Amino acid sequence: MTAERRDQEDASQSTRRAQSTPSRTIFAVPTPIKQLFDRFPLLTYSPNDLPQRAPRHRDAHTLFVFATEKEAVCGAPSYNPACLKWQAYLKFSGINFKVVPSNNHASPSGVLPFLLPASAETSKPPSPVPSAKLQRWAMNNTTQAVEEPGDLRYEAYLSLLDHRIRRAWLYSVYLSSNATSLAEPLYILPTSSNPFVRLATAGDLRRAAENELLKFSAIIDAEELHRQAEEAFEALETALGNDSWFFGASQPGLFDASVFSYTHLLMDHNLGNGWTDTRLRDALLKRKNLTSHRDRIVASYFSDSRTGELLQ
Amino acid sequence: MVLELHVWGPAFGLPSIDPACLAAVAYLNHTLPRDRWTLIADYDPSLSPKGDFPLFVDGDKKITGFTNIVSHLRKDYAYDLDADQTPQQQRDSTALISLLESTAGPLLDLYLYVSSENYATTTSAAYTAILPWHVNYIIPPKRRDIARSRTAHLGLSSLDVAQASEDTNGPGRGTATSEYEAAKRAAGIPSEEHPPALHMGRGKGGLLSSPIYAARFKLDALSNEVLQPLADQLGKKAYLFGGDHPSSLDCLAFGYLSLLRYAPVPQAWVREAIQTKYPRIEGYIERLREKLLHNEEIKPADVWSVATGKAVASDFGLQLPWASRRPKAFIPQFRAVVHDGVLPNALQQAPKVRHGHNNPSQTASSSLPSPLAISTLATVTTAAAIGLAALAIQHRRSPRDGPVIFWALRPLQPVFEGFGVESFLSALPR
Repeated sequence: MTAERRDQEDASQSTRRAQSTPSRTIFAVPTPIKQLFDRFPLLTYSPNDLPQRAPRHRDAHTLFVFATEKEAVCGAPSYNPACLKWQAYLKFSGINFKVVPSNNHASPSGVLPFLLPASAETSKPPSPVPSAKLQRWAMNNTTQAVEEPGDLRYEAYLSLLDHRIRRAWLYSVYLSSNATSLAEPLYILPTSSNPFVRLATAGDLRRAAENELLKFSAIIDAEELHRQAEEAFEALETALGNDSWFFGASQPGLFDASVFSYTHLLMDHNLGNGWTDTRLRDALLKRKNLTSHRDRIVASYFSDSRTGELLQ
Repeated sequence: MVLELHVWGPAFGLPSIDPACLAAVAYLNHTLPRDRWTLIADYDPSLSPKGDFPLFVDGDKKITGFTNIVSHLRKDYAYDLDADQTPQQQRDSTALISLLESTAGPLLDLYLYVSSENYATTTSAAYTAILPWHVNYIIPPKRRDIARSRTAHLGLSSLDVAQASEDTNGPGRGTATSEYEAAKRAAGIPSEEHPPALHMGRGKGGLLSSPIYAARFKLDALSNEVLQPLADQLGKKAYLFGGDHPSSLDCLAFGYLSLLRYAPVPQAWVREAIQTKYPRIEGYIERLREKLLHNEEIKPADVWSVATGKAVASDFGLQLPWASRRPKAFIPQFRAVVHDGVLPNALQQAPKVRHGHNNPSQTASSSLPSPLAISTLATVTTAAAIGLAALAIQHRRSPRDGPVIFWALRPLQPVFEGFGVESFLSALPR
């Protein structure tokens, strides 16, 4: 009986020990539940990214331009003339800045480029500088301010660029056969992956370019536009002459940046998927002073970026 | 062979209402002998390959645009006002022409077309005198729309009363608060936004913030932008590039400046600026008018009767070689009226783009869906929709009892029990 009893007691003790060992403290978690909860967390997510609008580099001036991610990292020239103009001008002014790829929707004024100045304190974000005020901002924020000649010829030659060459550019990039090889890979494909959205965007872009050109003539005539652009290039070519920079300046200024923004993109044969309608490009390539002016700027201001290798 | 110049008709005592036409008339009048060319006051821009005047017809060749006409006369006839210019001056001339077109053009657009007061009292009346009645419903509004779109970036739409009444008070419009405020204002109850006390100044509610005064500052700045460079370039010279005779640039400058100077508009901010601040430019305009057009005061009514063939230019002693326009078919005109005035915008044909001869064929392949794919998709969708609709109509016409079953397994058993197998088997030959 005793042996039996002892056996029973042993058995019951061993089971009781198993049961009673955890119950020494009342608040202990029962084993199965503990085992279950030991499995948690089942999956740890990586921390969320910062929101898109959060500034990444508060300590540096940031210029938002049309660019691809890869190009922006190495500071390559933007593929949009308006952005490239200010990008080049800021480089001429000796201002250090970062380039961030962006689009028109990001801009407070609705157009790129805009600049977010560096700020030391994080509590008060700096207000963005739209492109219309970039020149003044650059003059206030640099030691080597670029002097602009204030004479009549400056305005007159600038109007050649802003009207004749710009119009030919609009036609050439958005309406001619370059629309599929340049405008499409640069402006349309990055906006969306949905083919219908892309199609609608392409239509909008084309219509916007058409409407802009129709303001100045009832019918968009490519030959007329190219002839005017050719005249403009000729006038600019002779205005530059054998000087290094326009209007005999000792260092490049806003006018050089404006000329460069078009000449560089026209001469960049790797732009988008390459030029198919080369009329405007050919008109420029004949002008040796303008092409060497562009090469000079690329060599001295954009040599660290990818396009340094593309010098022809 | 007589050369023809087609222009928009005369206005304000000047030979044309359009600056480029005016410049072309002045240029031809100064270079060509009177019997070499005729001047036609026209109104049908479909004559012109570019859809606008001035149109210069030399036999089979049709040339549009002032600078193209000038270079055509230089190449084919050796009539050239710019022959004695240095290369430097020729280059500057190209640049200055571009500057003039880009600054004086918008100013003239604002002055004659966008400003609703000027447009209503002066410009549309001037057009009435030079256009047949039915075209008045098409061309002036169209040109006004273009002028509006060209000056939209200047932010001066407040001149345009019809538009200004639509957008009130910039930000926050369309909200409940602003509508409430507007209703209060309309009812004559003073609201917090606009204190009743009339105070001077450009701030909100100030006397000078009323659209016409607020715009005035911008307008004066704009006219200075046009006139100051010209005054600088002119200096004390008689013409922009000196010398003793006007150049093509002077003709174009005359085209813009004379319209700004002589148009009898009620809101005459440019004329006042020319008269008070730039007496030298006023003298320059008068000198050019004397030199290029012999100070002739042109009456649109005379030109109209010449253009319609009821009289000849010598009847009125007109100095310019006005001629009658050719009678035109009625049908195209009628079509144009229907096309522009009646059809909604969506149905009008797309604006023409001329790609020119040496436009290379499409080489790059697009990664967007092709028109073929889109039209296939559209066709399939439409066919499916039509099919469904037809099915619905069919069902409505002859409704079945019970629920509509598009696809269902027939109940098997009753078929065998009823007429199915047995009757079928019995029909078979044994």
